Amino acid sequence: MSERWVIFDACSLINFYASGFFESILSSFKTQSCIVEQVKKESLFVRKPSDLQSMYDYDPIILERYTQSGQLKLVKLETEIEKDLFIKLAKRLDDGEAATIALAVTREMDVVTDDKKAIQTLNEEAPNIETLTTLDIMKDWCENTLMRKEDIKLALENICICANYEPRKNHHLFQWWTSQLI
Amino acid sequence: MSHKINSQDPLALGRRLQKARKSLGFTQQWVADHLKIARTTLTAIEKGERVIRPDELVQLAQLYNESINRLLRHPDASGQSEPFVVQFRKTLSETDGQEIEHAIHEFQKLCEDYVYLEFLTNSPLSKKYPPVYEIGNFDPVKRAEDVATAERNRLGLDDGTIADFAKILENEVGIRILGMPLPSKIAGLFAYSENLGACIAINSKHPVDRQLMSRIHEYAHFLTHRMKVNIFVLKKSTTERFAEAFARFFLMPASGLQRRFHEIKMTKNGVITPADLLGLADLYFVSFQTLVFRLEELKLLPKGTWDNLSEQHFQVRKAQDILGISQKGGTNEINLPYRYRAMAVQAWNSGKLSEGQLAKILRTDRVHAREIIDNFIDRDTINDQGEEFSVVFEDLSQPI
Repeated sequence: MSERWVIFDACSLINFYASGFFESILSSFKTQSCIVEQVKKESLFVRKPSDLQSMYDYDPIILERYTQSGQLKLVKLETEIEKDLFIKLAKRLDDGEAATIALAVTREMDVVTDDKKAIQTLNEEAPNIETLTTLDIMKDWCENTLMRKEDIKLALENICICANYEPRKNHHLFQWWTSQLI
Repeated sequence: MSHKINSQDPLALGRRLQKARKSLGFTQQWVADHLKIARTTLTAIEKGERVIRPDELVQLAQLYNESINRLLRHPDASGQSEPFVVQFRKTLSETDGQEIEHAIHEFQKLCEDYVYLEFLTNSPLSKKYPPVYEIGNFDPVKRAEDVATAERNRLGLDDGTIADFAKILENEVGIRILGMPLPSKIAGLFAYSENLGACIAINSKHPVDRQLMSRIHEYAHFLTHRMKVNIFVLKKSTTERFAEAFARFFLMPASGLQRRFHEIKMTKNGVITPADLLGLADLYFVSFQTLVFRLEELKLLPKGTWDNLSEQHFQVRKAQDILGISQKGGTNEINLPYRYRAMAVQAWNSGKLSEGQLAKILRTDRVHAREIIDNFIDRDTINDQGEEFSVVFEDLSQPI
């Protein structure tokens, strides 16, 4: 990973929060991680298994603890150039995604997203900006923090169940993902 | 770099902003004051004569509670017609209030999203509208029976029960049917515009059997007053006599109901019990009361049967429980048709919608949106390009 700031899109933020190890993941970054204001305003939830079989309760994602401690910085569009780019991208993407990419491009941050359309848009707009996925971050976290095998498995299972996320079979780390869940 | 939004047709954007403002009932002066700009500047923006600045657009989007993406996305599904809420305002009384206006506004947005999905997936809704039926000076009840029979024949329904009327209206007629929470006294809404076509919203808070009657009631309105908006309020009104009669004739055609009733009587040695009637009501997806009134109308039951049962404090719900007939209540949620959800997932899977856009269009959060995706996509199947197959989108109007 580069030394640039890292900005999370909503889709990856949900996954990391759901893992149950969000604080550890944030601490593992060498640089600052952030989210854009529009993402914070979205109503984001994660699942938790309820007492009823095959049913779930849903918990809202609460980020105050992480933003107040400074582990996760809240950023907003400030300059005319950033707002111009945001508007341009908002024709194609949801507001949160557009703002995330606009700031990533103008402030040269690495973007963490799993969304196909967001990745495609970013590649067209700024091919020099690195796109990272949930699995890229999780693999780095596992290796850099020397997590126990049981904790890695738990984190990935939580992402599956609580965020209802599974990588596509053609993801470059799909084999790594499946090997950790055995 | 320019500080104005020059990648967007200013006239088209101005028109959308004006529609959003009018839908919310805001005056130009009020909006201009909020933005701290002159009213003439706002007028120029809405006419496309002055290109809007990014920060102005962001402020307007917040004021109109609208996402920038929705304001800018192409194409503008609403077209040139007046917003629904402007059409409905002509029929609303002063006491109807903000609640119903907000519901109408949401109704329009759902219909626009529906059309937008059809654009993304190249699956336009095929409109097979019948000619408008005139009521004229005919007795509305007799006319309702004639029109109900004609429509059943036209739709190839014979005289049996109807399993999924919403699907029939979408596939065979080309009407958009949505379920959404509405104020309790409102059973349904009907609206029509050139771009969106005929659209019906049914109150999802009402019991399922009531929703079906309301759907047919609004269909009656479509058949007879196509260009005029309608609010179906649950109260007796002579102007609704045609629609109410049409609903019961369409849902419970005389020949089919008479045949079933006599078949039951024959197997029970001429005796009909409340249990038989409850089963029949369940078969026709109507309330027990509605069925009894219809049987009284057809003289299959003595007039006053319902009144007698009421006086004897016959408890319908308890009887349904004993017989194991499930009572399908309403919900406070938006019910999006299968076709709508399938197109949304299809658009996401082909990279035309992002996850954020998908969640918004499905009116849910992202995790629930992922669950909806799971209902349509088989994650265990992958094609040669490394992409997941989706369930083939079921559109009966499309060629094979």
